[in-house]
Amino acid sequence: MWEASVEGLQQSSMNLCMKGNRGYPICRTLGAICGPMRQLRHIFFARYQIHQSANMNASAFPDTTPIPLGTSPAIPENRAGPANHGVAKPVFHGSGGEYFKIWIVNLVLSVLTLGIYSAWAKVRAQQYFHSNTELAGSRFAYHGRPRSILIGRGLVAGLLLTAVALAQFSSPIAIGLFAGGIVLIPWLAAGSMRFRAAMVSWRGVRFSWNGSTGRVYLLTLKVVCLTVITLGIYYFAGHHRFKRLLIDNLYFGDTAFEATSTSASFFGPYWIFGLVTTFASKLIDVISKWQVESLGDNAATLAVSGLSIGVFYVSFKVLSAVLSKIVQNKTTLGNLHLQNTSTVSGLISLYAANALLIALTLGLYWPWASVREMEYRAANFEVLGDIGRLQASNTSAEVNAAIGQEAAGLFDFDVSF
Amino acid sequence: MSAIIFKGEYCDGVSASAHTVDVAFADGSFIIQDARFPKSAPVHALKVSARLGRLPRTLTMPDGSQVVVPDSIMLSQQLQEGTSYLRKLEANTVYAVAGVILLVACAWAFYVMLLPWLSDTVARAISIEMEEKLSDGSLKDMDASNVWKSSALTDAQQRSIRQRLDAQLGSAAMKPVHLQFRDSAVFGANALALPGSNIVITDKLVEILNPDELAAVVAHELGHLHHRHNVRMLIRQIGLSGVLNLFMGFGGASDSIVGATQALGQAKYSREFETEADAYSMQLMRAAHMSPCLLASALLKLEKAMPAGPGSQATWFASHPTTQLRIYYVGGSCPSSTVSD
Repeated sequence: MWEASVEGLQQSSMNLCMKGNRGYPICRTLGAICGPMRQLRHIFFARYQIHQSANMNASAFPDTTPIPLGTSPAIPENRAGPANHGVAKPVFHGSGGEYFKIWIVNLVLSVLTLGIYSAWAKVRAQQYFHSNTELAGSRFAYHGRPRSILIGRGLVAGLLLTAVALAQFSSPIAIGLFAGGIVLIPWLAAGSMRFRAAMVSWRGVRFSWNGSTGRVYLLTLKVVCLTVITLGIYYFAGHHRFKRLLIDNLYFGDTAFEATSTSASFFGPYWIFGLVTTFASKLIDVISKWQVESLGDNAATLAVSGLSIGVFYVSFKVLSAVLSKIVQNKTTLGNLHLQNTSTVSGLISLYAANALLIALTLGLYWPWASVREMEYRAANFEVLGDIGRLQASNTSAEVNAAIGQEAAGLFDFDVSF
Repeated sequence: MSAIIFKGEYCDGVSASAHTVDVAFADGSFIIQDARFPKSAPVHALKVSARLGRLPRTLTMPDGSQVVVPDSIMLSQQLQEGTSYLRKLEANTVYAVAGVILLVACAWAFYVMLLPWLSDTVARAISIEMEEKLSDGSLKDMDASNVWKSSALTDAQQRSIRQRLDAQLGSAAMKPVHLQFRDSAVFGANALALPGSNIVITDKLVEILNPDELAAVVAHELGHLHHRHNVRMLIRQIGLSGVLNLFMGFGGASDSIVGATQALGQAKYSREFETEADAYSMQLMRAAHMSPCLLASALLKLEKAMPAGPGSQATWFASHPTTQLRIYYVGGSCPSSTVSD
């Protein structure tokens, strides 16, 4: 009987939004801010699967020859092939079994060191996924340093913990801290984009993000205002604006990424996503009533909650992938065009199978799921054009502060062990 | 002497072009054997990427140029590196299986022992005064929401119920309690202990229970207050959600997974608290020279009044143990006439 009182307490606290209660106006506003930030990482994911053509015009560029490394299959050198018409497909070399062992060691050491090792764990996981991704014979590389990640992680976790704990008591200090945290989000997001880009390289040339923090603040303000004014409808366009803010300031060496996608292109996917999740939740409501009445036990509760989580998870992942695809297909890097060939049915079967197996193994399938996802992404990515003509010099300076990255990471999956 | 030759991919660290080269180690030096890039560096001056899985190794020269070489034992020998502990751990399936078992054990120990102990320690540090402040807020919030409206009972009726409870359970136990009466369609016949020292009784509860049974239910709520279940649960919730978010991530799809797992985790704590409050009620009833069986008969009446109430189903998500189970513990030895009143 008493637990209703706890609910009463929660209503008075701001912690609500963290528990997925997205119906509240404040949460919707927060979602408008956090959602796009969260989405940014998906472009990053896709970003390192790009560039380079397998067909080399060796006579024009005798120095630039692709080299198969390690266990990578040899990429044919088409010396006679025409320039500018090459297609390079990324290859992912990781294996689920191999990553499982690394993942378990990461988890165990993170738990035993009360989280301190998680920074080293993160670097190892990132290195595993980046350096197992090969494009035109060359692997990507991740350069994040555990110590800077640890410092950022500690700072942000401390701040968040204090805010959450204080929020339970709805004191003015807590509200102040919470408001302060929201104001900091664009700054943290900018730092994060800068950090993540700068930590990745290919053929020794670093990526970088050269946008200004002021621009992020302006765009955030604009998107939040328009989203509130249009009662949430502008959200899809806002999301696109954030994706473009990332791409438009992204560089490989000193060559800029350029995108021509439009905000309108995000309307369709968002509309279908809304339709599917609304319909699914209504359907699940009906099933749950019927099932609980007829079975009324653990199996029914688990099945219904599992189904609803699964439907939401798969729709969310597919939406993110489709939006990334839209932007990528309109993105160029120098003379190279990016091509994302993933399909909605392919994405649904990928994520549904992953979700099902993760649930059935109580999470142990996670490493295999991650590897499968990377394999799918690699297999459905192409870089059109002649990589030999891409003369990107490395001008990006290393960025030290992991603070921004960690802070933004707290809003997505990356901060997790 | 003949040096061992490795095939590698050379990048100058400035432009995005790669070149196949032969590299060799000789006399503590690393040498690129290629007429285009005649470079060498002492082995100890190389920055070498860590071994991880079957990843190729990146050897970065002091000038920023790099050579990527497939990983091999021979390369490790030339670099004069041993196998790190980390590498040994990551390469062994037995360790991975042991790791899974260790993780499950850690999670269980955290859930069953560490989190309850930690949160109860923190809860003890939170004064009753602080809880009083909370209590006001939550009662006001609930009043402001439409879960209930003010009671239909007159002030005189409310006073007489209060006086009778004081007499039944002892004014010492009842003294700090603010008894609140509300009329609620949502809660039906119910009583709630809110943080601080508020006990809310619904009109329907007063209606269907006799005064002695009402005392048994109020004693159960006194148990929640005595054991400070509100604040203890609150801190367990914070701890549980913090740890789950840390492991499963924030935002998007993981919110719903964290939510479901947390609901499952909290439900077990909640059922334990209910059992604790039942035990307190029985103890208090005995001290007041009343039959603990009154709680059993009250539970039965509540069950009849609300067939789909919190005690109706034995699921992992249930906040209360089943009424059957509670009656078994409370009234296992009660005369059936009392129980089936």
